[in-house]
Amino acid sequence: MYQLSPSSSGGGGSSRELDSYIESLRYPFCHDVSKYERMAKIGQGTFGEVFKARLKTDRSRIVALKKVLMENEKEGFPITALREIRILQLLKNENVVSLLEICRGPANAANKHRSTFYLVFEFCEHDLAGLLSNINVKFNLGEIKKVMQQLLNGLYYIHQNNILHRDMKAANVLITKNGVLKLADFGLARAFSKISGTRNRYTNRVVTLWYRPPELLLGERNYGPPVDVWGAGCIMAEMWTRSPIMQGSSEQHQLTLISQLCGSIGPDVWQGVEELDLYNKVQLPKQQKRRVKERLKPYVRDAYACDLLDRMLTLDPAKRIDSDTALNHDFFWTDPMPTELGRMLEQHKQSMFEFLAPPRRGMPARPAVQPQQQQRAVVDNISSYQDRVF
Amino acid sequence: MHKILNVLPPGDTGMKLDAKVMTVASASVLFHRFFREVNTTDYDVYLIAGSCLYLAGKLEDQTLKARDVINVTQATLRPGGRPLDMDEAYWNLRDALVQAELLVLRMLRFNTDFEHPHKYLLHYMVSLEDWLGDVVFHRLPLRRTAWTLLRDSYMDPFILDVKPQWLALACIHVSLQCYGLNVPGSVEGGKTWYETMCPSCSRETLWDVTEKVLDVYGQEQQLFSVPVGSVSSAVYS
Repeated sequence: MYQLSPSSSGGGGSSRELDSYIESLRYPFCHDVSKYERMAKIGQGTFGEVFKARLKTDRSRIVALKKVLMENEKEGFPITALREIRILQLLKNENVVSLLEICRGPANAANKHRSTFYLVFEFCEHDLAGLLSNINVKFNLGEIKKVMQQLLNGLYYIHQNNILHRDMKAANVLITKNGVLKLADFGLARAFSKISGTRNRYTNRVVTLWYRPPELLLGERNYGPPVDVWGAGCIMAEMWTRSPIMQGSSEQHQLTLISQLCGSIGPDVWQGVEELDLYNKVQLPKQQKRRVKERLKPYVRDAYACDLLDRMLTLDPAKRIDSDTALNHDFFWTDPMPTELGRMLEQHKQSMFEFLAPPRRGMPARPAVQPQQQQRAVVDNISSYQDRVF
Repeated sequence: MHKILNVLPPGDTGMKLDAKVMTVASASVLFHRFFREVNTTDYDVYLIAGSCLYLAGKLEDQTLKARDVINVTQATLRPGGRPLDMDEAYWNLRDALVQAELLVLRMLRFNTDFEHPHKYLLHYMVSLEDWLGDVVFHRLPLRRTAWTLLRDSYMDPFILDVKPQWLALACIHVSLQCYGLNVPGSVEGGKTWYETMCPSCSRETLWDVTEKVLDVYGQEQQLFSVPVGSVSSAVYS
């Protein structure tokens, strides 16, 4: 029934008989994507496309289909997609998007009989970037606390499971219409080891530039959970500023922006920074004062919020607050307490995704796709399959 | 016969590829799982073995080059032969390798996770070292023997059915027996050393798994007398 004999595929697939033979193959363990009916395209990144779809047999079952780009066909199934699948199979948490199944598309002459694959996710109505770009969506302090609490809770969970997300940004934070937050897009995620004494050599060409922490910008390859906390800090500030707080145009520029906000980078505030590969190779502004609270105060106002932001945006990753400690911060345990988002979201009937939203102020239309990322795809063989689940 | 055929490839080919222990182990798991679902005669075992190795390289963060996998598979089938030229035959093989990878993934429902016994073996060995003392441990190659036993166990699909802890204990058990060692305190006084390390491992379980570990060596004779290439002549011609 599932015969795909190697001798036949070795034949080059030119004969018509072979075509119809391959097209008639059935894979009972891997459903055909045609069981879903596409409703709309909701995402487009360098990785490919994301669609909203519903089950044909039960039209109330809405899902998101993320297409796995099989661009580099000679290398087979993309390693990044394999990683994402494995990681998502491992992670089961309310604040992490859940993978329902993997479906296959048709294999025919048009795609050289190489079937496309789709990751099928539970559907979430909004992403945070989309919500923040809509001026009609207003978060009060209690609601912001709820967003951050769920975000940190998701981070805590994945870090407990030894997974680094490595692509924290508002567009990768999904929110259901009931106000449940889900971390999404594990296309760049990987497992990390906590064994002391071993130096890991992970690629540092991860995380969208604007959310990239200073240690990665300085070439650190032995990094860990703090990289995600930095991104979470950037997202938190964005809850008030409504647009990304540090929109660098290059790695160098990003480091300059970070120094202007968080103070000069040097061994006095960050022990061991001088040993990072790029520390002496890039220009780091000197004599900058740390102005995190000062600069964010006009937007944020709440003193606890400012304090937590200050701790999340700490330059030295070793001193940066971890998700567990952050969840115990007074910010979450003082009035107004975190409040459910459901009521506020009820007023908004339309799905809000960054992809569908008009460009935000001060931002290019599609910030997700940056030259750095394309370059990185070449550098570490991370195929173009990345960006957003939605 | 089927069993014999499907045990050899990933391990043997993997060694020549200089693949990491865990890559070869994962490849073997994929391979055994695959042939649990289908008949060995329907697929070319060497092609599937190569694909499993290629896929395991991706899973274990040790990306293996498709070309290397193909060449080494060739070398396994035709010892002493030359590497393939980059001609049509090569590209067909490469295409087959990649197609088979997708086939394996679909057959396994993309479920590629497996808990390997290696970490338990290492962990138990550290405890035993304290128990038996440095002297015994450094005089005898206990660790290496247990490790080798574990690697060889992956030749047989039984590894899919036993708890990783049990298999680790069985390998240590055989290793201890090889050197005539007894773990002190294991006869009287209640709990045995293996129950102390893994409470679900009863004496019967241990002996049962031990037998399976030893059985792998019973197949050795047949394994290496397989007429190499006979099944694959159609593909690797």
